[in-house]
Amino acid sequence: MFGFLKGLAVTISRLPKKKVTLQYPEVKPEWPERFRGIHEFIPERCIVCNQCARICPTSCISLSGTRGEDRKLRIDTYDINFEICILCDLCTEVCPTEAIKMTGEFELAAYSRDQLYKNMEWLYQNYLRHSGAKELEAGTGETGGPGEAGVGAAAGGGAASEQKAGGTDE
Amino acid sequence: MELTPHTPSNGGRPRVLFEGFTEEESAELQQAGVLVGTIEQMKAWARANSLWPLTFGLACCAIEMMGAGASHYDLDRFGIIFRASPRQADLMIVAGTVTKKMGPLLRRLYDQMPDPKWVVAMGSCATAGGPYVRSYSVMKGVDQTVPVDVYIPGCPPSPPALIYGLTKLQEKIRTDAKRKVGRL
Repeated sequence: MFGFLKGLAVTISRLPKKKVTLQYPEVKPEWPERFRGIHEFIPERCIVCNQCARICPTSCISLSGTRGEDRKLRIDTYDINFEICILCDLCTEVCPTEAIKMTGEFELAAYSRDQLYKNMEWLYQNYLRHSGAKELEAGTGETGGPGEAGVGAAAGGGAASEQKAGGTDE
Repeated sequence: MELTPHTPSNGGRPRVLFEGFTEEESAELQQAGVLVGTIEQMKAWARANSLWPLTFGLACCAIEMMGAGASHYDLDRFGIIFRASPRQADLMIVAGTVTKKMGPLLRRLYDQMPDPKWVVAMGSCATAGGPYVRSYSVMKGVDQTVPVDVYIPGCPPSPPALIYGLTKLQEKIRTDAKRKVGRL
């Protein structure tokens, strides 16, 4: 009897307080800055050093590149097998040019396993959806890292023409 | 049954277009307050809004699953109430690493669930083996033993990601009923 009243007292004391439930599907959650969602990839910055593929504990990254006429390596394919990616952030940490970064994207549930293979095109579109959009909003917004001037110009050009076109010409 | 955005012409009420009826007939039915749908669609509506998952927490994903069930994310809002018995459940959330020893038990619990039933593979381990993909003792995805409806990647997926996956499953239940290819 008294135990019941004790429990009820807790319930009643909670009633006037603020509700703690987050209204997720209607209101998107605000993640911390360093939240690890799926990656974004910027092909212009990649120097095909293979460090991300080598450090990946599950070997879920595979990439290939060719040497251009200016003796510089250009990325051709970049695939992440997101089925087995454990979002450890090591690829981001080793990347010398910050070509691969994590985003806050988490809505990735799929009906088939094939949909969890993410290629370079998807990852670049993910960049445009996330920090790419932010960078374009704040002008060029490029800081640090080698080869940034060229990337900034490319990103700026994409902003001037059309965001979609910037994605497809990769 | 199809909803059109409401216009001032019909008094601000959303106009419903029922399958197999003309626009006038649909308007008349709506005037009379009658809803028309196939039995399958009605059943899907009920099933999608009262998914009772069997808690199959095997590893760290289970912590996130519990977090999704607790007050911050509150799965009860969606009619999702965890059951501890396969006989009372119609959804199995496989949350965690399934070892080869656990696989047959997973199958047995799946077989003990009454139809209709669905399976959600939560996390990298249940989807494809995750970090243990080269292990000798871990199953490379639960789809080797049970049919999986929704895969949720992440290690572990955050509660919102789980909720998103469950919303996708509800969507799938509804669309399957429309296509009349639903299981049982």
